[in-house]
Amino acid sequence: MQQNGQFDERLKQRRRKGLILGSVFFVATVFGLVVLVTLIVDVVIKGAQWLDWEFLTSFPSRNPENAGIYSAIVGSAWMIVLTALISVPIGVASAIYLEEYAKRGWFLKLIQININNLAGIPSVIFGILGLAVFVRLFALERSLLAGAFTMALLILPIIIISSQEALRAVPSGVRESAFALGATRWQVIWSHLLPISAPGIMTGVILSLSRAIGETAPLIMIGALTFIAFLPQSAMDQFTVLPIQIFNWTSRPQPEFQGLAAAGIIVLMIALFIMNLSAILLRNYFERYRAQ
Amino acid sequence: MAIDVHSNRHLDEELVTLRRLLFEMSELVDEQVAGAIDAVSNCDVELAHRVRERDDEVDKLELDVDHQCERILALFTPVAVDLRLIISAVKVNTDLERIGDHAKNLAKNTQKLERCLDLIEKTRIREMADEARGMLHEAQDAFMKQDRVLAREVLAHDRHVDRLHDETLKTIAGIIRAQPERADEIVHLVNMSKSVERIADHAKNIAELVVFLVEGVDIRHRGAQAAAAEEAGNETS
Amino acid sequence: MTEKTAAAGDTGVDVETGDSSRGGVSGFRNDETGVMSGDRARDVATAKVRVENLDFWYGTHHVLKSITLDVRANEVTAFIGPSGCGKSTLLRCLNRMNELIPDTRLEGRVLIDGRDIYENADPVMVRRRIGMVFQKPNPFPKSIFDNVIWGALVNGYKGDRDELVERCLRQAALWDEVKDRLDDQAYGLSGGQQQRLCIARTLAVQPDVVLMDEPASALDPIATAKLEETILKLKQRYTIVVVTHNMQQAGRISDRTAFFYMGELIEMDDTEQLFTRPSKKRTEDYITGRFG
Repeated sequence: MQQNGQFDERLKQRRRKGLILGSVFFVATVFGLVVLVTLIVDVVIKGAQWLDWEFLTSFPSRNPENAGIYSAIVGSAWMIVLTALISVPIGVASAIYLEEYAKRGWFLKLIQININNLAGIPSVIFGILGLAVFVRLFALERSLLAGAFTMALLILPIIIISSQEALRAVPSGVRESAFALGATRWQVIWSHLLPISAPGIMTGVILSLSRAIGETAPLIMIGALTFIAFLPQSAMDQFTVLPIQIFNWTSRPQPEFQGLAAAGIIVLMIALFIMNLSAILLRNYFERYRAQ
Repeated sequence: MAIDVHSNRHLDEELVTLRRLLFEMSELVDEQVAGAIDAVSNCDVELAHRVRERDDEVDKLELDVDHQCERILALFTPVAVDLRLIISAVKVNTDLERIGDHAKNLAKNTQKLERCLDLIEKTRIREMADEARGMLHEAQDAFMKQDRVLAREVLAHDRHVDRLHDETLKTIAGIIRAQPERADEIVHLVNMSKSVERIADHAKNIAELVVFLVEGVDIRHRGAQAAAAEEAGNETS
Repeated sequence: MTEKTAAAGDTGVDVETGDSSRGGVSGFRNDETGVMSGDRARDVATAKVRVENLDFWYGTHHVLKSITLDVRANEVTAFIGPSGCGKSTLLRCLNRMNELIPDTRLEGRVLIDGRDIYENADPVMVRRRIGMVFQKPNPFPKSIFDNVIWGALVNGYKGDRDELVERCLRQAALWDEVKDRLDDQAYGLSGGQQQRLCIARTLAVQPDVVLMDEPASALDPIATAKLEETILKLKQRYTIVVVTHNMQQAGRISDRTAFFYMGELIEMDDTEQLFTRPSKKRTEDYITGRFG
C-alpha cells in the first residue's frame, strides 16, 4: 500500500472513538428499554389478578370486587368511531385540497404553518375550546358528540399533515402520466392518487386515533364523567372513557383500586397495541403495490 | 418473439441498397471492359464510342455509392463487419471507377490501333486481356459473395499478368527496333498493354478488400507490414 | 426517413428552383438534378404541429427563446441538444403539461392542424390528442389490462374494451408477450416491456401526435432496439416527436432533427443533412462531440 505523506490516518483513535460512542448509544437504548419493561412488568404484576371477564363486563362500583370497566371500554369505542367519522373526511379532504388544488403562494404557506402549529398545541386547550364551543355554544352538553368533535379538532392537524405526506409520496410519474392521458384533476385523484396514498393515509389515521384513545385532559374539560354506570345509547348521551376511568381509580386511596387501575392500563395498552399493529400490517400489505 | 431483435433492420436495408449499387456498377464496368477489348480487337469504332459515352454512367454510380456510404456512416455509425463493408465499398468504388476509366482509354485508342492490329497478335496482349477480364469477373464475384477463397485465387493471377506485361513490353521494344518507321503507331500498344495491366491490378485490389472484409485481415502491402512489425519487435526488446 | 427512391427513377422530376442545396429528398446529393420533389409543398400543407415564436419562463428563468418550427405528419422528429437546452421543456409545451408546474409563463403559439392549443382550448382535450411517454417507465399500479384501458375510460370510451387493449398492445409490439397475462400486475414486467406498455396506454386514447421524452434512456440496449423498432412502425399512423440525448438514436430513427442550445433552436433539417453537412458550426461541434 502506497503511503501518502499527506494523510494522518489515526485509525486506532478513530476506531476507539467509534467504539465508545457505540457503547453510549447502546446504553441509552437499553436504558429506555429497561424503564419501559419495568413499567410494564409493574403494571402487569399489579393488575393481572384483577383482569377477568367480569372485570371487562361490569360497571364501576364503590366496591372493588364488583368494579368493572365496561362502560369505559364502550365509551372509548364510541368515542373513537365518532371521532374518526368526523375527522377523517374533513382531514383527508383538506389534505387533498391543500396538496392538489390550492394555488401555491404565501396564503397557502400561511395555512400550512398554522396547521403545523395546531398539531403541537397542548390537548387541554382543545378541551377548553370544546367546552366553550361544543358544550355551551352548540348546546351539545356533555355528550359523546361534544367529546368527539373536540377530539376530532385535536387530531385533525395530524391527519391533514400525514395525509398530505402520503399524497406527496405518490410517484410523480403516475401523476404526470395520468394527466398526460387527458384526465381531469379529479379523475387523477380518484383513480390514482387516493388508491396509492390510501395506505399512508390510513396509517396516519390509525396513529392519530391511537393517540386520541389515550387523551384524558380534553375530555375532562368538556365534562366526561368519571362514574358512569350505564352504556351510552346515542351520540348525545353522557359517557366516560378508559383513561378517565383509570385516572379515577388511581385517585382512590384503597390499594385494590390501584390494582384495578393497573388492570385498566393493561386493557388500554392492549388496545393501543392492536391499533399500532394494524397500522404496521396495513402498511406492509400495501408496500407490495408501491411503485418501484 | 414479436419483434426481430436485430435492431438494425433499417441499417440492413441501407446496406442492401449499397450492395445493389455496387453490383450495378460492377456489372457496368464489366461490360465496359468487354466492350473496350472487343472494340479494339475488331476495330469497332461505334462500339468504342459507346464505351466512351457510358463512362459517364460509371462516374454517376461512383457518386451514388460514395453518397450512400457517407449516409450510412452518418446515420448508423456501423461497427465490425458492417464498418469493414463500408470501408471496402468506398475503396472498391474507386477501383471500379478507375477500371472504367482504363476501359474508356482503351476505347479511345481504337482508331489509333487500327493499323497495328497485326502487331497485336505478336504480343501477349490478348492473353493478358482475357486473363484480366477473368480476374475482374472473379473479384467481383468474390466481393458479392464474400468468398475469400475465390479472392485469393485472383491474387495468383495478377502475378501472371504482370509477367505477361513485362514480356509484351520487351516484344514491343523489339518490334520498334525492327520497324522504326512505324514507331508512332506502335507506341500506342504500350498504352494498351499498360491499361490492361492496370485493370488487372485493380481487380487484385478488389480481391484484397474481400479478404479484409471477410477476415478482418489487411493483406495489402505485405512488405511494409512486415517491416513495421519487425521494427516494433526491435523496440521492445 | 423518407424512403430512398430508386436511383434510376428520380430523374424525371421538375427542377422547381435553382436552389440545389436543401432539397432534402431521400439520400441523393441533388446538386446535379436539382430535385426538390415537392418538399416545399409538403412543408406548408402537412405541418402537423407548428410552433410560432414560443417563449417560456420558469419563474424568471427564460428557458425557451423565440422558438419557431414545424413538425410534419407521419414523421419522426428528434429534438437533440445538451442538457438544459430546453428540449424537454419545449416538448412539454406541446401538450400543455408545463401548466401543471407552478410559476411558469408561456408566450407564443402552438398549433396542431392549424388550431391553437392554448387559446380557447381545454387542456384535457389537448392532452388526449397529443400523448406523452416519459423517460422513466411509469405504469400505474394496476393490471396490464387496466393500465391500457384507463385513459380511454376516463375519456368516455364506449366501445369494445378487449379489442382496444389488444389493438394498442399490438401497435406497441407487446401483445405477444403479455396476451396470456393481461390481469397480471404491470410492475411484473421488465423495464422495456413497461415502457412499451406506457406507449400502449398512450395509444389507447387515440392521439394524433405522440411525444416521447428520452424514452429509451432507462432501458438496456436490447430493449432500446425493440423500442426503436416500435417507433419506426408507429410513424405510419402517428406523428412522433422524440427528445433524445443519444445522437446515434436520432440518426437511426428520425426523419428530421432539431438541434437546441441554451433555449434557442439552432438548426432544424432532414436528419441526413444535419448529420452529414450541418449548416451551423455549433451544430457540428455538438454532433461531433466537441462539446455538450
